[in-house]
Amino acid sequence: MTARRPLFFGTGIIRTFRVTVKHFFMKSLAVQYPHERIPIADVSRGMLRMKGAIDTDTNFAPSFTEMPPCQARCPANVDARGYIGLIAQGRYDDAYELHLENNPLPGMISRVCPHPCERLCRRGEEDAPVTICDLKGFMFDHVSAGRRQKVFSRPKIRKDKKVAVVGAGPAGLSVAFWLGKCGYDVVIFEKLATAGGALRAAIAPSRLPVDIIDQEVDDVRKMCEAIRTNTSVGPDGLSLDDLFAKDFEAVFLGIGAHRKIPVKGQAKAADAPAEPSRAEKNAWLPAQGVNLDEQGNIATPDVPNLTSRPGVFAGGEAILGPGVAISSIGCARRAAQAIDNYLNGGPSDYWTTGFSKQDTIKNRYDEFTPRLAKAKPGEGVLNPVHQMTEKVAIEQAERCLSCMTEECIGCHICEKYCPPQAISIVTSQDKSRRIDSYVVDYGKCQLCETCVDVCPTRTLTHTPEFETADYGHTDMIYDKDKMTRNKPLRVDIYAKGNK
Amino acid sequence: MELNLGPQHPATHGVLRIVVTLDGERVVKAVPHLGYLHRGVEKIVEDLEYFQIPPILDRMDYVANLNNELSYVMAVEKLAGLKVPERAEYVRVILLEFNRIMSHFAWFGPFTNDLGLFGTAFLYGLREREYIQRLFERTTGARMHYNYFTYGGLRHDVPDGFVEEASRLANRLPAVIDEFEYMVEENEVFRLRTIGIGPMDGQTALNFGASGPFLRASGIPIDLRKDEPYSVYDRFDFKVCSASGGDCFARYKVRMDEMRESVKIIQQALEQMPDGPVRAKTTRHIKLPKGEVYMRTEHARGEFGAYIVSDGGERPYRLKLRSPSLSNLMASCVLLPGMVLPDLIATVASVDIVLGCTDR
Repeated sequence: MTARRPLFFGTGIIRTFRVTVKHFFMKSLAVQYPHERIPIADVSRGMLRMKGAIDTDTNFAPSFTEMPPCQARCPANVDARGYIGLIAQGRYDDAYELHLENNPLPGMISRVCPHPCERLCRRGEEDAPVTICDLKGFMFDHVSAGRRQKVFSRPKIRKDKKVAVVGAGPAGLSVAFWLGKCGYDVVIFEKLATAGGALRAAIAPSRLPVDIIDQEVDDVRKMCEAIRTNTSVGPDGLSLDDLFAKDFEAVFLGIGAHRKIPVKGQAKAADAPAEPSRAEKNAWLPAQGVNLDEQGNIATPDVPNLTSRPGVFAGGEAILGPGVAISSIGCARRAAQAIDNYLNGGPSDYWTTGFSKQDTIKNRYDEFTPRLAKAKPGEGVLNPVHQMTEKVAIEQAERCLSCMTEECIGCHICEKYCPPQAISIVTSQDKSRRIDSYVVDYGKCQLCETCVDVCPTRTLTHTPEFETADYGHTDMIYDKDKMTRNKPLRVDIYAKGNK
Repeated sequence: MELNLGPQHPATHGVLRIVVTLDGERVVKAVPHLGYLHRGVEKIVEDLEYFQIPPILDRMDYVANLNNELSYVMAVEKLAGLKVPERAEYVRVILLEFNRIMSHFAWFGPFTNDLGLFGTAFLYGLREREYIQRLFERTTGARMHYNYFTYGGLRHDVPDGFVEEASRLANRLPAVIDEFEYMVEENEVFRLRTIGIGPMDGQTALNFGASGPFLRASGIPIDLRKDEPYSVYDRFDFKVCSASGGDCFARYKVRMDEMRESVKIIQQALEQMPDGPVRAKTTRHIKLPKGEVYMRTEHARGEFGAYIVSDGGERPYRLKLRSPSLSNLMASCVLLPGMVLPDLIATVASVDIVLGCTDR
């Protein structure tokens, strides 16, 4: 191919002149730029900082604004991180009391729950999830009789208001517990001969022993005026008007979804075809002023759990449709709060003075050593007989990574996944919970955010500091004190006139 | 006379070393020596899990990083059968085209510098790049090594005001490109040193496996965005830019036209961008099924490909990366004998190589 050359040497100059004349009055683009300074991004990926470490006293106070994945996934938001931390410290009674704030039936639930929490456990990304459900069962088996006596006792200050709870299933029992704790006089109406609802009627005794149901029902019985079995509320028994005539100021309908669960298998919606009987069995309610929705469940249109009739609340499968027991309990807690608001004009003291408010979150994960070794084969599987020894249980609980606590627990996960291997951690091998050294080498660090991504406790963050340059390599190796800094190490050049 | 051009030489754009045998001012023989920036990326990633790999790939072609990431994450998605949400696809396209423009700006400045237009245009190119870089910093958190794409979508959503800022930037760019053309195209020095210099014919370029603007400047309009549409590129109206000369000026012209087309794509994508999630539901520690996959995309410099061989584990058994810079550089080297030395500099600069990508 031949090279194309300009015809003669001056072509470009002539063109240049022509173009210059054409654009003589053209405004130069270069002056159109104002001295704009874009503010620093929210996600700036500068040098790393640790908000806090488990063994260091910084003036950083964890905010705990975000729930750990297990708690967020649980339909009843049971604080699994909290009670597992307490189990790891051997404080089974405290763990039990903490558990009761969101779920008063740990014994039954530990035997039947499909534990969605374990599917989201951060430890499961590393080896196997913490066996949260088994630890719940272990905790229930090991709680002392004295603490149970104390927890299941009605408060001295009475509200002198009567509440009727219809149905003694998981939802009804839970509502009765919380309302009893608030000081109301609760009476449970159950049409069957025994309390326990679908858990007693549909779960095989091999899976859920009857004595566990009896224990927990007896516990809840202490919180109530009475559990009236063989007393039906409905077309063939008492009507809602009858209940209100008997000085009950509020009624909770925990009447379930009227379904037959196959004895084997989990209590899942897929197992239970929507029987036509649900709408039929609820058909007596519209005459009483309680509307139903299209599926035949009780409708709670505006206020959570409040039905179309004032003073009548509903919860559990009666409004959710067939589901798992833990969902009913979560729904029941909201119902209990709604009833309390309705009768009391505001939340009672119980909701603000529970165990979780007295005992700090930090206490729940501060005192145990995380077990960082890989899980042994078979440890991750569900143990249906719940015969965990104390040693196994504590070892299992120590595997919890204390997600979202915003304090480094020395779990080595950032070290493991750092692509250029810039992080090195030394933790104590003994029981004392100590991070001997935490070193980031900025000669290697790429600021790629991988460590921030994988950190389960969310203690590692990027700062808007970009001045990594220094006079020697040793100055670029950041130790634990530098990592847990609360102020920028240098004058932040970006902060000047830029915010 | 033998002359060592590089590895530390401002005109070789990195650590390229060319051993030139000269007869007077004429080049008799030019042998490129590679490997001064070899880090063994392909071997390093064999020890990493799939989610750890994009930061390493960012360090390959450090001028158009997101284009590197795209080939890899799309290869993983292809093998894992992941479906990327619409919004993520659109954000990807917007950022990729901005990244292409950034890369061409970063080429334009030093290119004019090598031709002797010292200073002015160089700073103009980098200044414009800076404005786009700030958008990237706000979006991804980093100025250069973004690590923003991940299999299944993006690592996080774009910040508030992204669309306004991006469209403001995109609307201004055509005028900026006009200004650049106005600045250099009628320049005597620029024309003399580019027109007819280093002409490449299309067949030779194809034989060497050249791609991208380098190939299109030789009159072969191959563009993977059009020929093999990936992501959502089939929804946009744009044309493939090519020129017939095959010389340095044609390569310059193709890049300038291509930037205008990129702006069009950005503007269309910003209009069509839907709301929704930006990440498919997937785990961080992904395990790919056993198999092989090759995914190629149109990088700012040509065809960038990622070839993953998976043995069913958490880490790739092998990750081969095809770099456009290497093929283009090899193709351009046959042009060098017979040139005068300053033309060699202009030719090598017009190819637009990034040594991080060539050496890996």
